[in-house]
Parts: sequence; structure tokens; C-alpha cells
Amino acid sequence: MKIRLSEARVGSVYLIIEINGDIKVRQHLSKLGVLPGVKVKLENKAALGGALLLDVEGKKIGVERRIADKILVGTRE
Amino acid sequence: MIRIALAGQPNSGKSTVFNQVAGYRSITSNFPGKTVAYFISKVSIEGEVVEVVDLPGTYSLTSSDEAELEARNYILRGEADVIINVVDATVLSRSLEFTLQLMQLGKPIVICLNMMDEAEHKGLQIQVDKLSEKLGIPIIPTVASRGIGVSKVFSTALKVAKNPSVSKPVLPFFSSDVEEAILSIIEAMPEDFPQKFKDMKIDKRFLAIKLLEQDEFFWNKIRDNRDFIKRFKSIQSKIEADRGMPSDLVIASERHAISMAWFEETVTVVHAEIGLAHKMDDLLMHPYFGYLIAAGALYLFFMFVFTFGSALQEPLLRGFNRYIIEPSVAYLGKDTLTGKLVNGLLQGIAGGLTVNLPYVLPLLIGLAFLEDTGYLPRAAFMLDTFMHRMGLHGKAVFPMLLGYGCSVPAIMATRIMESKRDHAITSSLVLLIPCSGRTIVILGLVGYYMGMNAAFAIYLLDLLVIVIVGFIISHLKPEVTPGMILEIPELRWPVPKIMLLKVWLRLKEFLIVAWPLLIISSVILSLMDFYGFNDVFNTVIAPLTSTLLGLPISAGTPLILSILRKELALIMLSEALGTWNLSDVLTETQMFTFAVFTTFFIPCFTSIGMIVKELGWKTAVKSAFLTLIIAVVLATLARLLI
Repeated sequence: MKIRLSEARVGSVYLIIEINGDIKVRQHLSKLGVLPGVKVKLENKAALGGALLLDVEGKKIGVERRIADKILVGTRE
Repeated sequence: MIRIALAGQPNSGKSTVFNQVAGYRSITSNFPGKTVAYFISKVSIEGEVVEVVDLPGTYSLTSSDEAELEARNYILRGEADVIINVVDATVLSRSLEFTLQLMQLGKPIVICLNMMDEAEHKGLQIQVDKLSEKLGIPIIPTVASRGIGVSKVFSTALKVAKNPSVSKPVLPFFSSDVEEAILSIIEAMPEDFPQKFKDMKIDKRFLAIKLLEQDEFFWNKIRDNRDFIKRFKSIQSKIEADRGMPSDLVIASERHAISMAWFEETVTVVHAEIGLAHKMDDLLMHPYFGYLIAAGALYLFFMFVFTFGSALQEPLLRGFNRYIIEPSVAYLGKDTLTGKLVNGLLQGIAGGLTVNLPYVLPLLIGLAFLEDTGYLPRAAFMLDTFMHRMGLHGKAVFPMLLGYGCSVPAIMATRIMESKRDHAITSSLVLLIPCSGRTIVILGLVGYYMGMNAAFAIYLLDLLVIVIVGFIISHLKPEVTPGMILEIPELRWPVPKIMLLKVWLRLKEFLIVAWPLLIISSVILSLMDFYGFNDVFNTVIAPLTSTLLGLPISAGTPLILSILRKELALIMLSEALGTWNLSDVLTETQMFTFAVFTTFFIPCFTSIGMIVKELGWKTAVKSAFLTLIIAVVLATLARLLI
């Protein structure tokens, strides 16, 4: 099942299925390794509607919530 | 002369490598006609002088931002003889994606595999020779922060520049379906296509890949060829349908897969230890405590800057006045033209030295510390949600913070905002932040005569106004921006030498740009005083000063013309009113009104000059006008309500 990364559970690992949004957002994410087919761990969600901390292949990446809405993930198996 | 270009991703230690060889002699340049800056330096390697160009650090070589585009075009124009690709060994697989893009540009490359010590700590064992063989590129392991291996990188680069056959990048193929698509695009391409890019050396394959990546720069040049576009679109939509994603992501995924394969074939992960840094991160970016820590860090940062600044400013200013300015002016005569001119000149020099530097220096040191430890991106991460209230995102924290020291470096720092809209909004808001010059008025006038709470109230009011103004402007300009996507590098202990070098380079920018403007402004003020222009000016703006704001008419000059020398506003006021004990001549309401106006009105002439340089006249005039309106409205309210 596909869910938005912003709705994912902290501490779990997901598989990125789809990245929506325009080319600027896609380019920005893909150059940091956030791509379909890549595993992502949601490390942390800041309170008060703050940003999300991701672990993508050992690198930490912070994305704001609006962006996390555009990343669709599925649970692995 | 042989030219070596340094290319690499942000946080790869590229600037550290550059500083190790370039040291203090480097100069900043701008790409012709652009605001993207890069450093250039002449360096002696094994007795031969070469030119080293430090290209802006970028994650990729698409054209998604100006820095990337300029870095790429610089290489494509063939201006460099050899590229040194600085790679962060701790994030090797991602860094290799950038290397792969560099390899496509067809220049000889030398890889500087940096941060080898940290990679070892992370348990990464890299078989350097095997990787070098696979890529066809010489690789030199380094620890640039300690200078290990750096000279070997440059001597290898020199060797390669003289004998390019030493570095023959082996370009890997993509998956067969992508290669097929590329071949079909090449077939559809008219013969003259690569020539459309006059001064660039590119081939059809490169162009085909760029078009699949939907690279705006290349796309725009060929878009009028409808016949080709039609055939391209059908090839593109086929691969998009097969892969189930846009073609730009197909290429990105391919690069990712190739780099992963390289990584897996040449690196063994021994043990991934969870170090202290990782545990600290759990705390620094904790969903709740993270906010408290960010607030605490900002508070400490301010305390550091202000304690240092105010401790130095007073005695320095007094000393300068007593031992240099007063004797010189007394000697030349207080009311002669020479006396006035020398006074203005010395006051300008003194202002930069005793008022700006004591704040700018600790500010730059504190900022470099926060940057080099890696806390700044963490603060941006935590504060993102607040910045969104102003229609901006977390990255805007950096320039806004700088604004409390001096608006000039703060406006320089607004460059980190990717979109032009965010860049302009952040600059406008920076103008509203009380810089050290205005802090003197707030603390020296309101704080000293009315108490610290009143001064604090002005700071709170200012913050509130910034949030409201930010909210309004960003809603008037609802452009979709990429938003905050931010790499958060490992926490590390800063290397003092590198930190100080960074401080020095920024300080130099302040000394070269801001100080001379300050001195000129100061001299102009003296001339106006000598020729009696101040009285004329006071009469002209009396409707504002006296009628609207209820201030003494003679306060007009310090109120408005202090934009030439904001940190002198208080001194100008004292001189205009003829007393150093301001409570004798001003009521508390008048003091508060004066301080409010000074806080919101243009910080200084120099800061507006910086906006012109960064964003052009239009934005500068608009921002300046905005500060005037806010200052007049709030100061009038202050008069009526306080």
C-alpha cells in the first residue's frame, strides 16, 4: 500500500515508490539520493508541524512537510 | 598557464582543500554577469605556477540552480585543463553519482578521496586501487583538514594536465532500454545540433542524456525544432511508460544504480558503530527538546556576540576619540573645513574599527563555529516550521541571524536561498532586523534611560513586525518554491585553522565593501555639516520630525541621515541636541519614538548597495521604501501610545 512519507511511522524503513511534484522538486530530491526504489528510514518528525528527518543510505536529509507529502512510500513486504 | 578546477558536492571538504593550497592569497570572482561567486588563486606546485579555480559546491550538474549551471558550463567551455573532484569518502556512493556526471563532460579528472579518517571510523574499507581502475581515474586518499595527501592530489593533477592519457575516465553504460532510447534520440537529432552550443564541446550522446534529464538549459536551445521534438517526445514517453516514472528520474536512477554497483564492488563495511555523534543527534533534533536546544543555542550565540562586542566597543571608541580624533580636530580647528573633513574621515575609520568590527568579528567566529560543527543545518531543520509562518523555510535562519550583527554580511548570506523570490523576501526582512548599529540606539537610548524592559520590548516588536511583514509579502507572491530539502552532515569537531580562514575571507569582504562606504558616508556628513546643509535639511523634513513624530526639529538629521552611518545615530543625536545627557532634552516618548523609527528605517546606505548588487535596483528601492513606511507608521503609533 502506498502512503505519504509524511504519514509514515517514525523508526520504520520504507521503499520509495513515487515522487510527485515538479521537476525542480524531483531534481532536488534525486541529487540527494531520494529516488524511487531507494530505501528510506523516517528517523524523526519535529513537533509543531516541523520538518522530517530521513535516513537515506546512511545519509541524513531534512525535508519540510510539504515535500514529504509528495514522496509516496510502501512498506517493504 | 595550466588551469585546475576543483569540483565537488557541498560538505565534501572542497573549500578546505582549496584553502590548504591557496591560503590567504585567494580572491573571489563572479562568473561573468552572474552573482555566483567562486574563488580563484595562483598556486605554485613543484615550482610551477598554476591557476586553481574553486567552483561552487553543487550536488549535481543539472541546471536546477545558477551555481550548478555555471559550474557545468565552466567545465564545458573547456577552460580547465584538469578537474580535481573532491569526494567525501563517508558518503562515497552518492558522491560517485556526481563523479559520473563529471566523467560525461569529457575532461581528465583526478579524484581527491577526502575524509578517509572518518570513513574508517564509520567502518568503510575502500579498495582505492580497484575503484581507480574501474573508473579509469587516478584517486588520491586524503584527510584535507589535516593536510594529509593534498599536495599529492595537486602534483597528480599537474601530471595529468601535461599528459592527459593518465586519466581516461571509463564511461559505463546505462541499462539496455535506456541506451536504446539514447541511440534513437541520437538518430533523430539533426547534424548541426551540438553546434548550437557554440563555445561548448559536447557530443550527441551527452545532449541526448541532458534532454532526457529535461535540462532546461539545453532544452531551451533546441525547442524550436518541432520535427525533432515530436520524435523525442515519443521516445521519451515510451521509456516513461516502461519505467513508470518521469525520464529525469529514470536517468537519476540509472546513475544511482551504477554508483551503487561501484560502491558495492570496492567497499566493505566492517562495522557501523553508533558513535557519540549519532546519540547527540537524537537529542539535537529531538521532536521537542530540539526546539529548546535551538533556542538555547541562539541565545548563547547572541550572548557571545554582544558580550564581546559591547566589552570592546566602549573602550575602543573612547580611546580612539581621546587619543586620535580629539587631538587631531583640536589641532586643525573644529570649525575649519580641514578640521571637519579630517573629523569625518577619522570618524568613518573609527566607526568601522570600534563599532562594527567588535560585533562582526565574534559574529563571524560564532557563525563559522556553528557551521563547521554542523549545527547550523540542524538549527535550520528545527526552525523550519517557524520560518514557514513567514512563507520562507529553514535556510533563511542563517541570513536573518547574521542580520543582528550587520546587515551587510547578512544580505550577502541571502544567496543561499535557491529561488529568486525567497532571496528577495529574505533580503527585505533582513533590513528590518536590528543590526549592531541600531542596537546601539535601542540599548544606549531606550535601554539606558528607560530600562532594559523597554529595550526588550522594541526587540519583541521588531520580531513581530518581521513575522507579519514576511507573512504578507509571501502571500502577495505565492510562487511555488522547491522548499527545504537539506543535507544534514555529520557532526564534527571544527579545525581551528580552517575555521579562522573562513572568518578571514568573510571579514575581508566586509573590510573591502562596507568600510570604505562607511568612510565616504562619514566624510559626506561632515561636508554637509560644514556648509550648513543640516539646518536646511531639518527644516525640509520638519513635517515628519516635528509635526508627525513630535521630535525636536534638530533631530531630523540624526533621524534620516544616520543611514549614512547608523552606528553614529546616537552620537549625531547628542551633537544635534547639544548635550550628552539626553534625558534633559527628550521625553521618554520622544526617545522611544526615535528608537522605533531608527530600528525599522533603512539600516544603512551600504546595505541597500548590497541589495542592488545582489538583486538589482528594483528590489532595492522597493525594500527601502517598505522600511520607510513601516518606520513612519510604527513611530507615529509609538508617539501616540507610549
